[in-house]
Amino acid sequence: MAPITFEHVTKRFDETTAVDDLTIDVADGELLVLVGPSGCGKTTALRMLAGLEEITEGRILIGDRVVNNVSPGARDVAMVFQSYALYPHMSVYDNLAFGLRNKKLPKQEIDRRVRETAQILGLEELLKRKPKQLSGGQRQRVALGRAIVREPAAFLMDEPLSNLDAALRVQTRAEILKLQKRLGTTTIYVTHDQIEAMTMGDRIAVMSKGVLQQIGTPEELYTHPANVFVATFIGSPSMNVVPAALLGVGGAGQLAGFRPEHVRLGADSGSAAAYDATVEVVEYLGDEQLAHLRLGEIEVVAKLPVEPRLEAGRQQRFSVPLRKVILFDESTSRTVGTAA
Amino acid sequence: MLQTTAVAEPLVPPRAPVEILRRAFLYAVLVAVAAVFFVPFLWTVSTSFKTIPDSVHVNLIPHPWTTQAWHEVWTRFNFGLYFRNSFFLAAVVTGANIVLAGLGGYAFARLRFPGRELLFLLVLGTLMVPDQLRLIPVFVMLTNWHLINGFSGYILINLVTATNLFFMRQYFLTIPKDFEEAAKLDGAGYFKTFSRVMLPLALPAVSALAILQFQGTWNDFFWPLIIFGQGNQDLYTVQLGLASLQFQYTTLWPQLMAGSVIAVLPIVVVFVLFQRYFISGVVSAGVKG
Repeated sequence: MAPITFEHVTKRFDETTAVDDLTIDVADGELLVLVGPSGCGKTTALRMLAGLEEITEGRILIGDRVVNNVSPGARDVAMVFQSYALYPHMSVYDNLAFGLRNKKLPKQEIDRRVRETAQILGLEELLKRKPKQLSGGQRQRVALGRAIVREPAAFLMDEPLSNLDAALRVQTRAEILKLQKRLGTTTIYVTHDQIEAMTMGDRIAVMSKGVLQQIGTPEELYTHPANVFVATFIGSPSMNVVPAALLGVGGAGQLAGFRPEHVRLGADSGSAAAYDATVEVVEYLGDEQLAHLRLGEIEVVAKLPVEPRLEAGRQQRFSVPLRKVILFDESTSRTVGTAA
Repeated sequence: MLQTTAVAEPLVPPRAPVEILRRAFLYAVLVAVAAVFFVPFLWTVSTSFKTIPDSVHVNLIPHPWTTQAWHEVWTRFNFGLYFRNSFFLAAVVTGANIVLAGLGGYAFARLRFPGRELLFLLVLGTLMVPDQLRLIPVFVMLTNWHLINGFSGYILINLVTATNLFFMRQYFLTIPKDFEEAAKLDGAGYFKTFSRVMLPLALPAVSALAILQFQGTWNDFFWPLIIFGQGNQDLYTVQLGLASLQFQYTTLWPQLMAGSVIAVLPIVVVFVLFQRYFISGVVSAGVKG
């Protein structure tokens, strides 16, 4: 276990800057999620930490050791790949033991660790099988096992759940979380799925176009986004962002953002921004309804209680409490404050 | 009580007559094509059991039936020795090609070093040079190095071929990098990554290479003739042995055919044993590469 530090880390591929001046401190035992859309630089950052990509500028520290020029095998980190990358010609046992054999550990020690890991992950019955004889979920557990068995300073996980079906993903997400808390190993987890990020991360670092947008706890990111990108990326359905003037709040050159669940049907008290909108589509979800509303040229989404039922085509009045409306500077996209 | 006298409709309707005819025609064509390829081999086997006078007749059934030609190729014409020589050369050359084309192909596919692309272009360039053009320089070179009239010269010039290097490189390029990166993180160095992870993953390509190279060396007539086919008959391979059965005015057809069947057998055995890997190797290298 060890803290991890990115200090002004930059990665350039020829003319393209994949990661730009990234500075992050990950505490010992913390689970930090790097999240962002495809091509935002999150995987590149992880690969630089693993030693699979050269660092163009800056330093990466694992513990108090600068690892820029340390080979991947000597960094004492273990990675879980998106594809699992299990060696297909080796049994589960040999997959788990491969890294330990390279460390030249005694045979008994290797055997003890492999069996212990297999027991933690429920792989005891599968040790003699080849990866192709395993289900997707079992392969995923072997990939996790290969990381755990080495008892590294940090786990690096590159979208490890993306190959699983929805139900298994939710289950495995919880298992990884439990395991990480139990082992207390510093973990950097890369995903493009903001729900995964919100449910798993002690803190979340949101990236876009190679730049760190904001880092904080899930609640901080949800309630106090630093800019329009974070506001719309975190949360599902995403935050509605409209010109502030449409709601009659803020000043010139400002945008107003509000979350779908903060929309109320009908005019509220004086402390709310009210607007008339046409209901275009209503998605019935059982316990609530998602209404797609047209507000002038803009579509906004409202998440409302299932009663009273909305009807498509009707114009209705909606409102949002002012303290829930976040104002952004239109030119910089940065958060200015709330409308209250 | 309900009674039915009508015959029940079958659950699956039978094939339409047109479909049956179409299939029959297709199989007839396939059998004809197969016969075109198989009959010459059948004739070879049949002739090997004939007497010399009977061997000039166009009949598939030997009359009289004799194993004299088989007996002679093993005893009088020393095919046992030729067989061992061919096997030795094919095994050594195939082994060397697996190791060297594997290492070289991996380096060209995955290692980054200055001049890699230029070096690879040079390797590919050698594919453009026909054997006939290399004949004199290689012969002179081997003569100067005193490697003529022995196996070492032949082995030296066949240690690794550009085709095999290219083939292995293309296959390694199709293997996802994740395996290598996982091995790196597992603390494996270059050689261990190659030998424990990459080479086993390239098993289909290695099998295809082994079969093709074994077959190529086994069937090679040109270079054995040039390098050691002019003097000591103890160095002869099966192919040189077969050629020695053709004299200026006569050809010992039954003996030649018996020798030919002997020459084909190891290739058939190797192919039958490894065809699964061979086919998957050729297909995957061809499609993904």
